[in-house]
Amino acid sequence: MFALQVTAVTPLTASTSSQHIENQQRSVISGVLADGAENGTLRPTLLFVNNSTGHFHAVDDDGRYAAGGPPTPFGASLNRTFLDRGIAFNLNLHYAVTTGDRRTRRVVYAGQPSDNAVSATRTVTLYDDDVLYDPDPPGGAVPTANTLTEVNAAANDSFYAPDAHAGPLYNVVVVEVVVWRM
Amino acid sequence: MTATTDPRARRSADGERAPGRDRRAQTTIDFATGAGIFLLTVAFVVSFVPMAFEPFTGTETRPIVADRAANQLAGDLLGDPGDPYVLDEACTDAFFAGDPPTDCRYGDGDPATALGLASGTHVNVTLERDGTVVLATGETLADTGSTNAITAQRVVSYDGRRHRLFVRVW
Repeated sequence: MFALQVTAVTPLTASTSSQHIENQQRSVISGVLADGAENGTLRPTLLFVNNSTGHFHAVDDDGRYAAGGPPTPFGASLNRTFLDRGIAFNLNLHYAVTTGDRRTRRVVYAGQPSDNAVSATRTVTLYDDDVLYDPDPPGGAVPTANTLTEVNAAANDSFYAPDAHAGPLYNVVVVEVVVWRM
Repeated sequence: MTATTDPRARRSADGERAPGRDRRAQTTIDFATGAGIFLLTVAFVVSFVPMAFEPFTGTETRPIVADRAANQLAGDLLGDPGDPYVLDEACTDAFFAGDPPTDCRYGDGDPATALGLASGTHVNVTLERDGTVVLATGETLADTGSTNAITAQRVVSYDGRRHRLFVRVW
C-alpha cells in the first residue's frame, strides 16, 4: 500500500517560477527602461555604435554582447538590476526598414530564454541629427560628431537601422529586454 | 428415454460427478478480493479527490493585492500615470512621511487607506537603493508578530536614480 497525495498546481502556487514572480520581473523591466529613458542613458546606448565597423563597441566576435550589457551607464544599470541577482537578460532592438518590414538586432544575447522568461519593451525615437557615442572608460559614453544622416549616407552603411522616414525622423526603435532566472 | 440435459446430473466420461456451480472458476476468495479492491478504490477517490481542488477553492489573494498595490504606487499614485515608474520627489516624500495629500494623487496619508486595502490587511512600503532603505512607511512584520508576507517589487526612478520599491502585504 502506498499513499498518494494528489494536489493541483496553479500558476500562483508558491515556487521559483510562479506567475507572481514573472509579473514582478516584467514590471521591473519596464521600470529599468523607464529609468533609463528618464535620466537620458537609454538613447546613447542605442547609438553606441562604432562608425567604422557598424557594430556596437567592444562586442564579441559574433557582433553581440554575451556577458552582460553594453559598457554604458544603461548597460551597467541592467547588470546591477538583473545579473547581480542571478537573472539573465537579452536585449533586442526592433526597427523598421525602408520597405516597411521590421528587423531585429540582438544586442545582448545570453542564450535561449527559458520557458519562464518575460519581456517588456519601450519605444525610442531616433532623429536624423542624433550623434553616435564612443566609449569613455570606465563605463561611460561620450558623443561623437557623426550624425545619423552622415553615417547612413556613408558607403559602408554602418548603422543597424536605415533612415526609414523622410524628414527629421530617422527611425523608431523598440527596445525589448527579455529576462529569465538562470 | 431422453438423455438428461440437466447439467447437474451430467456425468463426465470417467463417471465422476461434475457439480454445476463448481464448474465456474469463482470462489469465495476471488469475490472477497474483488470487493475489497473496489471498496479500497472508492475510499481512495472519496478521500483524495477533494484535495485536488483545494488550490482553486482557497482564498490566496495576497499576491494579487501586493501586485496591484505596487502597480498603483509605482505607476499612478506617486507620479504621473502618463509616465509610469518615474516618481515625483515631493509627493513621494509626503507619502512616506504620512502627510495628507495636498495636490498629489494619493488619497490618504495612511498607506492601507491610500491603497484601498481591506481592513485587517497590513502593508509595508519601502524604497531602497543598493540595499539600503531610503524611505519606508507602514507597519513592519515585527510589529504584528507575523512572519510571512507577500512582496511585490518595482524599479522606479526617484531623484533621478534607480530605486527599488517593495510593497509587503500580510
